[in-house]
Parts: sequence; C-alpha cells; structure tokens
Amino acid sequence: MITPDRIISPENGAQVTRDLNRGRLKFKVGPLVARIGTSYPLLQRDFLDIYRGYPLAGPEEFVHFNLKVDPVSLLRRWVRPKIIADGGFIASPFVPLRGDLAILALEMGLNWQVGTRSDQFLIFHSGVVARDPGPGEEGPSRAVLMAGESGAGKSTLTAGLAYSGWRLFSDEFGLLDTSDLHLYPYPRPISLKNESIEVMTKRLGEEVFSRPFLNTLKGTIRYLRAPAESLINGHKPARLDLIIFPQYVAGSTGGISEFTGAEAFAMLRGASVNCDRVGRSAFDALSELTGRCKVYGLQYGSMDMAIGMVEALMEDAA
Amino acid sequence: MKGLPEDLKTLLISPQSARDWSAERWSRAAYLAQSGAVLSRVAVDLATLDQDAPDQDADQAPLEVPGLDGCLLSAMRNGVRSQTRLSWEMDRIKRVFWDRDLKIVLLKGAAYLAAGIPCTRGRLSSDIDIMVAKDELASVEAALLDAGWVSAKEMQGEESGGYDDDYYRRWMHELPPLVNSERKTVIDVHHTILPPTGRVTADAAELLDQAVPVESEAHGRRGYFVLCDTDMFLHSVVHLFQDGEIRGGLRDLVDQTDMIAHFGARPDFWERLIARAEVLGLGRPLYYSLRYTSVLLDAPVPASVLDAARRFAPPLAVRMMMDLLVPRALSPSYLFESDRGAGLAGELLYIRSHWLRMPPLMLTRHLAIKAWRRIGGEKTA
Repeated sequence: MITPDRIISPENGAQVTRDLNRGRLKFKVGPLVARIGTSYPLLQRDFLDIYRGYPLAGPEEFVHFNLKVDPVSLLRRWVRPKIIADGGFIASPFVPLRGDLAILALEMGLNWQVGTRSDQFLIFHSGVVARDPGPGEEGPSRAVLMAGESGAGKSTLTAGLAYSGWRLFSDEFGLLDTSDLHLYPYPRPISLKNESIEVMTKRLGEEVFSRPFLNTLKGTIRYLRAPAESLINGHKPARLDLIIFPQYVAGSTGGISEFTGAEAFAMLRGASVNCDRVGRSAFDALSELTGRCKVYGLQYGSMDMAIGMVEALMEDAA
Repeated sequence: MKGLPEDLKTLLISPQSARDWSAERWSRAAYLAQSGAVLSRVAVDLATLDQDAPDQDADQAPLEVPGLDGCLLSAMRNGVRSQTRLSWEMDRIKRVFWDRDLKIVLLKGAAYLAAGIPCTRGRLSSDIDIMVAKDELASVEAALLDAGWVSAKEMQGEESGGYDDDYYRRWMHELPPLVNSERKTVIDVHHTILPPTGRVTADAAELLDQAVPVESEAHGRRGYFVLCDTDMFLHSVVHLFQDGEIRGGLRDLVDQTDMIAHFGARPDFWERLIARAEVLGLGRPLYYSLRYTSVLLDAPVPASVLDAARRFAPPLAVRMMMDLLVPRALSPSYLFESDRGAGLAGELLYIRSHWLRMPPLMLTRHLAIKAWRRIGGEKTA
C-alpha cells in the first residue's frame, strides 16, 4: 500500500522542493522513473500543484530519464526570464521558453525523452484508458487506445473517460509491450487547449485543473491532473482490446465505421511513433493486433455521446 | 592521468562485473553510456553473456534492478536497427552504381559492418561514408543526385552554394553531405581521409591502391572495397585525433580498441602499422591512439609497440597538455554532477582541431565568418 509520504503531496511539499533544488527528485510515471532538478521557484510550485499524487521512487529503482529545467543564464533568471530543459544531450533538441511557461519545458523535455528512448515499448501517439474488473469480478484490465491526428479530440475524450470511471493510462503515448500485447500506463497531466478547457472545466470543476498558461505556441493551456487512483495503480498493465480513431464533428449525431485488414494495419502503423526503431517485433505485434482487435473510426458531437459509444464498443469487443 | 569514469569503463570492458550493481549505480552508469553513445553496445554484450551462459552461477546472476531490462532492450533494439539501416543503405547505394566499373571504398561504420569488425555490434551509425578517386567525384555526385539524393542544405530549405558549399568543395576532403529524399539518410562522399589544407595530409592514391575487396559473402557486398587493415585503423585514428575535435569521441576510441584486438592477432600487423603510419605521415595521431586506448580502455597494445610509437610523440609540454585534456573531453559526465573541467577541455581541443585543419590565416578568416554568422543567428557548417 502506498503511504502518503511516498507520493507527492502538499504535506511533503517542503521535502519535494528541496529535492528539486538538489536535482534529486525521483518519481514514477507508470513503469518509468524520472529524475528531475530545478532551482526555479515558479516551476517548483507548478510542479507540486500538477504532479500532486504521483508516487515517489526510492533508491532501489532504476532511473530511466534525467532532466534539469533551469534559467538559460543568471541574467535570464531575473530579467525577462527564459527557461530551458537540459537532458545532457550533445545536440539539444530543446528551445528556451518564457519563465512563466517553465512547466511546459519540463513536460516537453520528458515527453521527448520517453518518445525517443523507450523502444522496449511500441509507442502509439494516442490516448489510452482502461476498465479494471469490478470488486468480485474476474479477468484482466481491458484497454482502449484512441489514436488520430493532433486536434481530432483525443485528449478531450481521454479526459472525459478518465473522469467517468475509466482508469487513465495516457493522453499522449500508448506504451505496448510487444511480447504480450498489453499496454502500460503512462499517466501524465492532460494538457487541454483553448475551447476544450471551457468544456472540461464546466464538466469537472476548477479544482482538478492547473492555473492557465497563456499565450503559448498552442494558445492557452491548462493541465488536468491525473485522477489519484490512476496514479496509484500506475504499475498495472491492461490488455489492449479496442482501437478507435475518434473525430469530433460539431453537431454530429454519431457515426461509426470499421477498418479491417490492411487499412487497419496502415492506420495503426501511422499512429506509431517508433515502429521502425522497434523493428520486427513491431511488425508482428501490429499484425496480431489488427487480427485480434476491432478498429473503428468514431465521429461524435458531444462528450456524453462519445463516452456512451466507447462503452458500447468495449462491451461489444468482450 | 585521469581515467574514464570507472563504471563506464567496467561496462565497456567487463560488463559481467556490473551484475550486482545497485539501481543507483546502474542509473548513473547507463546515463554515462548513453551519453557516450555506447549503451547499445553494452546492452548487446550483456545479452550475449546471458545467451552464452544459460545456467547461472554466482557472477552470472540475472540483473535484478527493476526497470533496467527495459532500458537495455530499448538500447539493443536501437543498435540492431541502426545496423539494419546501414546495411540497407549500402544495398541502395550499390544499385546506383551497378553498371559502373567504379572502386567504392566503404569507410567507418559501413566498413566495419562489411568487414565484420567486432565494433559493429550495437554501433549507432547515422551517416554512411564512402571514398572514391578524386576524378570520379563529380560523376558520383551527379549519379546520386539523379537517383534521389539531394544536398543536405536544400533539404533544410536553404539554398545550396554559398560559403559552406564553397568551403567544402575547395578545402575539404569530402563533398557537402547528400541526403536521400525518401529515407532521410545522409551520405558523405570522400576523396581522401584528411583535409588537403591540414598540417598532415594522406596520399589518397596510396589508400585507394591498397584497398581490399569485401569478401564476406555473409554481408552480400561483393563489389565494395574497404581500406586495408592498417589504413582502416589509421582512418579512425585521424578522424579522432587529427581531424575531429575529440570531444564526444568515446565511440571512436572504442572502435579502435576493438580493431586493436581484432587486427593485432594478424601476422606482422604491428610492424606494418608503424611503417604505414610513417609512409602516410600519420605517426603523431597513431601515437595518441595507442596511448589513450591502452591507458583508458586497456587495449592490448604490445609494450614493444608502445615503445616503437614513442618516436612519434609530441614534445613533453604538448604531451602533458593532451594527457590532461583528452580523458576529460572523452568522458561523459552525469547531468547532476557538475564538471566544468570537461567543458573547458572540450573547447580547447575544438580550437586545436581547427588549428590542425588549416593554415593560420585561413583559420582566422573561417572562424571570423562563423562567428559573424553566429551573431547574425545563421547556421554554419
């Protein structure tokens, strides 16, 4: 059982801040462990707020990712602050951001490392949620993977499902173990943009959200905290049973189309981030998945409609 | 002399001793290996150890750090993929010249793969390097451009030509890099192994003349050539110690260590190597390679050879300076441990690499142009 001093919480905020200052803060995101350092107070506050409830990692756990996020120079700490993520790479892929957007630098820094250096998994650019067996029920946890273009509404739909009885796996990456076709959780704060923010704050209330981050490259962003229960169960994988490509269409009364065979394979291949790096195992996993799972395109006009459709499809996939 | 970080050295030369390491120790060591671009190799070596000794005794116990197996699997897949890609690229390039009677010499990673040098395992190669006779350069470039390669500059949306392009064509030992427009892979076409402007140059005709056909049917590359053993070794050596900036060059030093073990067993290899370095004028960089591979990675260089190479050594002051700088520039450092010495060592060796590459006036002009453009925010070669 995870005790309160093993998760990030307001009670141990002072300790977490000290660890961030020393570059010794280690926390878990699903099966992965990240070590973070920052001396920037605003980022420390945002981190504590957004990462509330995450399990801390002990000395017995291997660190997969290392990241420092600090002002680019002493001057830029105080005057028109500029913050940059640093993973120690010779050619750094990261760019400096405004001081008040420091948490975005951290988010991008972590996602970039996970997306480029976790080839033990076949990674899909997708949202994932899962249904755990209820009390007294037998059987595995069952996951649905939602892929598709950026802006098609996967983050919003993932957020809606995660707060309607499904366990949040990720709104960013689906991590598939190619040996058994199970997905591993990668529960991160869900980044919601522009119109989605209004829809979701109305639905869930203000208190599960971070402060707004204004004038980013993608407009306004607010982070929706991952539900506490999905963080505590972050180590439990789920069998992938259903794959959908959701598409929000204003005024839609709902539509479903099934993809089969080569078409399903090609769409899934397109959604994978590292298919070519994983190689043969990825090809085999995609073949087996498209043979076993139903793959649907799903058009929806409202959140409740979409949730109902996903639940019905999952029922059907049993 | 300061050595490599101890745990990194252990991973490179006796990874079996890392089995009982704690998670904290592994976390730091894996980071260092990743920074030095050798993690994939380490992962392959560990997997091979597991295969060779399926029943475990005490020092063969499986790794018991949770999460580490995933990291190593990821690194191993990357290494395999890099070699597959290289092999495929060799195949595609071969097709471009299938009807030409052209001597194409593979260099660096492609050559190690074709010739079956052990350092090819888990080796991450981003580019493919080939060498042709200088009077074939224009026709080789034209054929590649015709077959779907484009200039790397154009790929980035910049115009080709201009200072960088001109700089390559006039002063360098290779064409400006070409990129395959479909696969985004980069090819460097060389006509010799050192810039003709440098303090030391090598006779390209001599290198081409001694190149040997690739015989290994296993790789199916009949038709390609590789430099002969001594030259293959010397090319890696000049790349690291004469032409390159040393910083970030740990992988090259590992290549050289593997070649020493691989070639060192051949009859007369060492005599031929010393003689060849003399003929080609590459004694100084050879001295550095033998010194640092043996000190930093325990490469099996015979004592008599180290003695013989001493005649290529620089004056004492330079030697001391290099002993101070080289290990620091080659050692990756952990993100959460500050290491100011490494940064300074890297900068100094970067300046040295340019000093060796061109005469003082030309160097001044080149660095001035690069600095001017850096102020203006432009990218440079």
